[in-house]
Amino acid sequence: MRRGLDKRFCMKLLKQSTVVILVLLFACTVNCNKDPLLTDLKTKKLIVVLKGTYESNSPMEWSMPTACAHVDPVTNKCDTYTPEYLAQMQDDSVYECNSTEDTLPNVFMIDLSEIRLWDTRGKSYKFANYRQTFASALSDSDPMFNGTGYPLSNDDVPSKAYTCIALYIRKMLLDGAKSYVARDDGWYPSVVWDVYKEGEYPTFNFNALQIHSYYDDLLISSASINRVYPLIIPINDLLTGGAGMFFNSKFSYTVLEIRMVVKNFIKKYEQKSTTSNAYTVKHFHGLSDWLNDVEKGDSVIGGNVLTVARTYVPELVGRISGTATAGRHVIAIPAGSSILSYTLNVDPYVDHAVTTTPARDESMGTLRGLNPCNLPKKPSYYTGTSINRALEYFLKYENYKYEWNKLVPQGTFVYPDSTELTTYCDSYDTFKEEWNKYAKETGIRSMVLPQLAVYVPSSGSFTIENVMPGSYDVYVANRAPEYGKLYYNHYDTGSGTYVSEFTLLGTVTVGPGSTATVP
Amino acid sequence: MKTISLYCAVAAVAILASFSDVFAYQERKDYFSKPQFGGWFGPVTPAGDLSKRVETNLGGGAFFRLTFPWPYLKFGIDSSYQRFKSKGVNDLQFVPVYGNILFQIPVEFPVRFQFKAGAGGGWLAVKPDNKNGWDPIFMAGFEVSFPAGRIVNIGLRIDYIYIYEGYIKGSQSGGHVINTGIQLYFNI
Repeated sequence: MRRGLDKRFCMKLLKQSTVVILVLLFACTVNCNKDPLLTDLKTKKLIVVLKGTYESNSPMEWSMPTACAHVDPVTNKCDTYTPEYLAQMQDDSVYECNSTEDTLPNVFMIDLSEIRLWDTRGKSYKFANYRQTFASALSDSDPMFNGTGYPLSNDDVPSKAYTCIALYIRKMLLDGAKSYVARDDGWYPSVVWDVYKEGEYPTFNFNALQIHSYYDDLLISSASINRVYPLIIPINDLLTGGAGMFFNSKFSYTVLEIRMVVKNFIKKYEQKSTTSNAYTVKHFHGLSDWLNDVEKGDSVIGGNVLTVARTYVPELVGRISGTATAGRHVIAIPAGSSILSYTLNVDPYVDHAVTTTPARDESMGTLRGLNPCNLPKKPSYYTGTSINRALEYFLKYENYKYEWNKLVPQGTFVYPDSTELTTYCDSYDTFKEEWNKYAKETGIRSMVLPQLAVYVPSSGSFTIENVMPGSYDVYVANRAPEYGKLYYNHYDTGSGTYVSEFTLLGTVTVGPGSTATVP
Repeated sequence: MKTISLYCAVAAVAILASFSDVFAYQERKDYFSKPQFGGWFGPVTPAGDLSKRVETNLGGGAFFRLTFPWPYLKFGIDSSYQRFKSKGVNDLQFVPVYGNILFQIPVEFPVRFQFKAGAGGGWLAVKPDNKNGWDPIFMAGFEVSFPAGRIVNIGLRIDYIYIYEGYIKGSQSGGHVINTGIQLYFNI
């Protein structure tokens, strides 16, 4: 009897337990998700793409000038560079070593440690905490340079507005770097090696040199300024009125496109060793110093990583098409915004001295060279034991003092157009003022790249792809692109205003899925 | 024959009676059969695909158990809080609530081995998508318990939990979580 009771009780409890378990299951299933949360965690709706071009699609072809003009038949080595190479590829800061054995780079490597997005409150989101490396051939078919771009590894971010993206670039490398040792009978080259992705390659990491040198070190804030790591790129989307991007996970995908001007924007620089007894000079490739000029004796090439970022939702985009002169850049900017923000004021130091046409004159010198507070840099101490090199250092030091005294505290500064400087760089206030003027009036720190740009092919008809809905002013450049350079503004004495190198083609309104044609 | 049987029975009782531990064990056994409650904490580990998104963390929970009249079978209710973080933005909070049947290996050892299996629901909250909700879950596990007196038990446990999302449109995979921990629970 007792045994039977136990059995019944046991069965009852077992049934009750099963019911409780089923109720728990049922309760959760009734209230269950309509969204697959774990799949949401896994899949990404924010696609980040990295491109190495000025253009958002249809980039121009590579136009790196040929390096060697003549090969010595006896030594089978190059003995003369082409004039184009010397003018476009070799920076004017290359002056110590005149060897002609440098070759063009073939590969661009980038090593990203992570990417973050910053929201409107300044909070950073580590949404791509993955180390990523890319090696791209400097060819028109490589995704980095053909307008496609490389997709990056990342997770999604919360749906909200973000102001900028921060790229933590460990390294950027280009090959073709050589180290030259001076001997009695000339320069002896050897290949420079650097580490990329835990392997050694014949490359040079120019990212380490992407810091300013010419005014930061005299600013109080210089100690706390880090202009390289991370590289902060504002996202000036039309949707947010230029204030950032808006990510909404309700859309299937949002593409965040990051562009870094590398294609047709590579130059050769020089770096000297001041520590060893052997007199060595290094030639390496880095990004063009079009924005922040690199002068003789500079050991860094900072301020020249030109980047732009934008977002688009593939479900919403339209396109802009039209015709323009072949071989020109066409850019689209938010309607009503100033084209002068996308180009650089070339002549703030020679105000009113420039005629209207032709606007730009190379003989004016560089913007940096025109700044009266562009003070000479003190040569690095020589720490070796070679008497010749020690003497050379002292000579350079004397020259440095001579150059410095020309500007500080008093002296005469004559511009290339023979006008004389009336204010000298004789105080810290003047120094600050002049560099602020340099930054403000040239637009060197405020210049932005256009979010939408294409190169007009030989057919003359262009299409700007993946354009978010909105109104755009479409501009075409007045001239063909120059290697290693972007576009300028010039002071027009007639109107008393700056004039851009871009001409307005028309204003268009793009709708979702539609093609707007420029009139 | 009856006499021999009687002698044998007396001898057996005498032998058994001389092993007081046997009775002590029986006593502990009874204590272990009482309703129990307790808690645990230890590493909670995402497995499979989930391990690529979030990382191991410390978690903990509480449970309550009732014994069936057959002392080797128990029914338990278990819940815990588990938060899986990552180096980046990914974050998963998981609160499973489930019932389970525990089966104790019916072999007399000073320590007790229990297998368990159950099902229930789990509340999940994922970041960066900022979504949350309930999913059905299934679990299986194994425990080792050391009685420490009449009331206290100390144990080690390992549980596998499967988060089922296959019924939701667009789902690509469920989730696998492994909980291991040390537990302290009481016979009441």
